[in-house]
Amino acid sequence: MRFGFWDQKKYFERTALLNNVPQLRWVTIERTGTPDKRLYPIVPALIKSLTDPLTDREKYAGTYMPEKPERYIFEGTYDEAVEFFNATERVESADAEISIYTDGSPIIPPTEARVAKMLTGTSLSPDTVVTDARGEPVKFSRYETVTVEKVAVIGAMAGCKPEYMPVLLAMAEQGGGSTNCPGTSSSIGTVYIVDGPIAGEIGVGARHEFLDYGNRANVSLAKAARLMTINFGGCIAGIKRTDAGNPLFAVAAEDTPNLPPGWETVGEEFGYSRRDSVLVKTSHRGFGVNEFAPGASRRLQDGIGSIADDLGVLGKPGPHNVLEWLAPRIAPLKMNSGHTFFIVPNLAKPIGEIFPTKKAVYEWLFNNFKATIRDYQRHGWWEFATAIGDRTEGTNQWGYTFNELYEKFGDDYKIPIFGSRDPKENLIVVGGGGADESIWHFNGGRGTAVGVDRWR
Amino acid sequence: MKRLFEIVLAALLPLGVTLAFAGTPAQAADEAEEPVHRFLNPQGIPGPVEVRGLAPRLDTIKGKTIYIAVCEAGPQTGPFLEQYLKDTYPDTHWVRIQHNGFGPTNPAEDGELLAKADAVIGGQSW
Repeated sequence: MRFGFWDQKKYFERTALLNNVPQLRWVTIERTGTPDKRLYPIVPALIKSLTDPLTDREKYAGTYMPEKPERYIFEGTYDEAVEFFNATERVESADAEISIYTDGSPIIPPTEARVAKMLTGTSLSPDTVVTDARGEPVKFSRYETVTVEKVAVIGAMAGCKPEYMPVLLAMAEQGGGSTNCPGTSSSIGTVYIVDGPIAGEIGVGARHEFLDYGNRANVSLAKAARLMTINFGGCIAGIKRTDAGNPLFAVAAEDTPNLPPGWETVGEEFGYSRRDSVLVKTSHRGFGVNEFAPGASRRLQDGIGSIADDLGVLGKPGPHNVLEWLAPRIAPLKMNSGHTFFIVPNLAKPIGEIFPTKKAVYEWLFNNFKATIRDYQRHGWWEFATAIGDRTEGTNQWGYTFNELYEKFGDDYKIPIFGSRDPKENLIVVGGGGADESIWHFNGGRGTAVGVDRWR
Repeated sequence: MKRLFEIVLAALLPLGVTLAFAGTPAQAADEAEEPVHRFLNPQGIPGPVEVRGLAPRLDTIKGKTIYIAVCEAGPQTGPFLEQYLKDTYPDTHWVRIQHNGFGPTNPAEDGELLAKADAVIGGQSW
């Protein structure tokens, strides 16, 4: 039997099914409280689970064949369909009515005609199963698979245009928009970067408000990714996704024409050429928007103002590296992992005059900003990842685990903040308009990339 | 005359009933034009699963070896549970394995448990 948190029952049921024991007995435990209040009271139920005789259902061994969902989910007028798809259910852990089929905002009901129109955006047949690059069917919530038609249904619901289909299918190839399903929505969220020719073909924004609303491609594609999460794997808030939620969910493009000379595009960073259309999916853990006062970074480049004073370059015009001021101030939200920076072009330009490539920036960050093992041990992640006499966490570029580093070099040993084994765990995306105040920073790695062209 | 009246009334009666239920002519036109569609299903497709029956239950926990395998972030559950069980059920042999982080999800894949345990209490709690 197993015990676990009361609001994670659906995760448990899904995990038990995927481990071939859907009838596994389960006891809930509270998240907080001293052992005498949260732990000892469940002990009788634990013992009972081990000793109560099995029912016939619990003894069953054989093939569980779930019913394949009907191709059509509803028949009625358009207005009736709007109400159907807006249906909600009461979710106890959310203490709210939560949408069953949508992200909470209304969708466009997917008629056959609308879906057929969406399917004109790809040459693939509707019954093609969505697979990864190895040809393996992609599994949502580690279980359900989908077809090209299902992705077209989602695209129609989200208000996407048919020409968005290759990007939608690439999103499905990457498992839809969830940061973790089934699981906790405890990270900051997901940002997709659409790179290469298709970004311009379908009009994905790269400049003002590129992480915001207003652009149909950016916003409807982000909505579609959320709808995939909800419908493809049943990842409904409070059911199979629990926690505070992911506040950031965006689709954007990099402002390639305004990259500093010599800097790689996001697609090139993942091994593609500028002729390839690519979709990068980042899932960030921590969040840190770093916005300077208006004109502060320009003053730095002119050698005046407080930041110039801080860096010791008063009276000396730039180029100056604003990351030299920023990096030590970034709270180590999760040390020893890759970080992503979204930098507006006017801020990237002077950095590009100092570092000829993005790779050079990553190497500078990786090699120059460190924390001690002692700092890491006081971080909360230490006891999560490491163990006393048990599994240890692999770590640095020399192949030592944290425990080995600690035993060999002591707790003053320094580990990188920006990355774990490789500077290229970091990522820079240039975009966001003409101002010079903003760098958005997140940690949690650089994400993954897939080619979009195979879905055309 | 009376017979003629009855014939006309019988002929008009179905028309009257129809109009009564159809509402006004404008409403009838609107309802008749409201098309009905079929809407496609956005939900994913589940596949087959080979189900194993649960392991047989214990007739008693006395004299048995029961493993406690709790995935946790730091020792806030496992050691307390182990001590409490030892104190409360001293005739049972309790063995605790600690897995940090998310740990293994399936004790049935753990060789030590399969070889030595009469039962397993698994858990995820931090």
